Amino acid sequence: MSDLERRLEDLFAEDSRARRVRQVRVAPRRASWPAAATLIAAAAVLTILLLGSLTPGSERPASPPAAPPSATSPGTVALSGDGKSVLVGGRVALAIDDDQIVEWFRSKSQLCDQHNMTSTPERRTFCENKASFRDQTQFASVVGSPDGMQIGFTIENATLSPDTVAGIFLRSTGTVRFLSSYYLDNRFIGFSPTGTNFIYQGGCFEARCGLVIIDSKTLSEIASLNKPDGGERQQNATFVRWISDNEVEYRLGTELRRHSF
Amino acid sequence: MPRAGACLRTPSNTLGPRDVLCVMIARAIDAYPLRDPEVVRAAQAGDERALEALLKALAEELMPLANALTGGDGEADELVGDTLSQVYERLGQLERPAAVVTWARRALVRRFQDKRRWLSRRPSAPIEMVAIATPDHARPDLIDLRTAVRRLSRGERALLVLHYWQGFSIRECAVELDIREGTAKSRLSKALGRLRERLGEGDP
Repeated sequence: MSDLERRLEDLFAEDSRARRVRQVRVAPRRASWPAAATLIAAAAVLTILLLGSLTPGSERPASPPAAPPSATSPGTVALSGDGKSVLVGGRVALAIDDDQIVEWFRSKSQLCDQHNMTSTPERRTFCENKASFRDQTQFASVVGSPDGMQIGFTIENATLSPDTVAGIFLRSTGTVRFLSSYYLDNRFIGFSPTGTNFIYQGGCFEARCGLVIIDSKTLSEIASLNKPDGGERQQNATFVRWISDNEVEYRLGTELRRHSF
Repeated sequence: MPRAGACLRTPSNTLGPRDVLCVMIARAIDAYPLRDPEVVRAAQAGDERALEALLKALAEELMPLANALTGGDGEADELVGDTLSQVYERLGQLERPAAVVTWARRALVRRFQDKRRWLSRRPSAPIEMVAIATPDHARPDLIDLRTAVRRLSRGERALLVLHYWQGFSIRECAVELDIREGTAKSRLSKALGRLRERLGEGDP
């Protein structure tokens, strides 16, 4: 055994003693999935509320002025040529370097956590430099609600990895809400015919995704299709079409299914 | 609780009397399940006290490994907490209660290697708290080595910890990490080479 190998032993032995468990408490009952989802949703809503209150529109110098929202004239939702901006009626409604988006990537995507941050010099630049973030990140797709007040989006970052994240932008408050984690195949899909609900693909892992339907008004989850149910998903779910505002057709593996809610 | 690998402290991989005793104790402990299999079965049946005792014992078992993998920083708490969450959620699927430690250890190592993936499908965390004591370590002569190790990939770090600290053979490491034995060998060799290079040390 070489000197280096002996020092490695010493190092790991020393590190192994760095912390110890003092107490582990277990929740009194196993939380059911819906209850846990409710808790998570509540926490997410709270986070969004905080983000909204902490990042007023006036503190977004990098973003051009947003188009004034109007419920009566939705305008056409489109992507700018470079994928860096969401346009409504030809004006920028949301830029890729909006503070809320940058902050989410820094604090929630795990791309910028302590370990990933130091994985490459490029990663650090991406996490710390807004211009670099803007260069490397773009909207992959955007979808406007029928009334034009909500814009669903998918963000990608081809430079770092092929992962994607789904989110929604509420024009009335200027709030960005992320719906999924940053992972391959997560994406916003679309609104129901009259816009009362929307659906996104989320929870994807190793090419097996779930579909989540959200109430557009309350942003609460109203249906989750292909839920893992404790273990891992056995099949992939893909959206096919809306039958109505309250019914979707989707494919589970090769089987065509419908779900009403 | 000692493990066989932690006993091999002498140069040239020879065992002194204390090492032999240490290995014997460690192997005796390893030969038995972490706790009485009945505790695992009771936890599987929904006994809250058994579940709490099992998770506490597992946390104590896993925390040193998590510390070694992460370099003793706060990620170790997250690693252990998430692993216990997984154990908690899937305990009912465990068919061999005696395998609970191996099962949990593999979950932890794999979760460490691919942090983002595990988080993306992590079940709701039922563990309310994993409290820790203040770190009291840091040998100055290991600082550079620690820095160099942290710059290795997570797969390489996991391999080094399992081989040099847990005392697993290359073959055992390959099984733990779900890679081929040849891959484990070459990965170990490359990791050591990189460390020597970064530490400014030539081949021995």
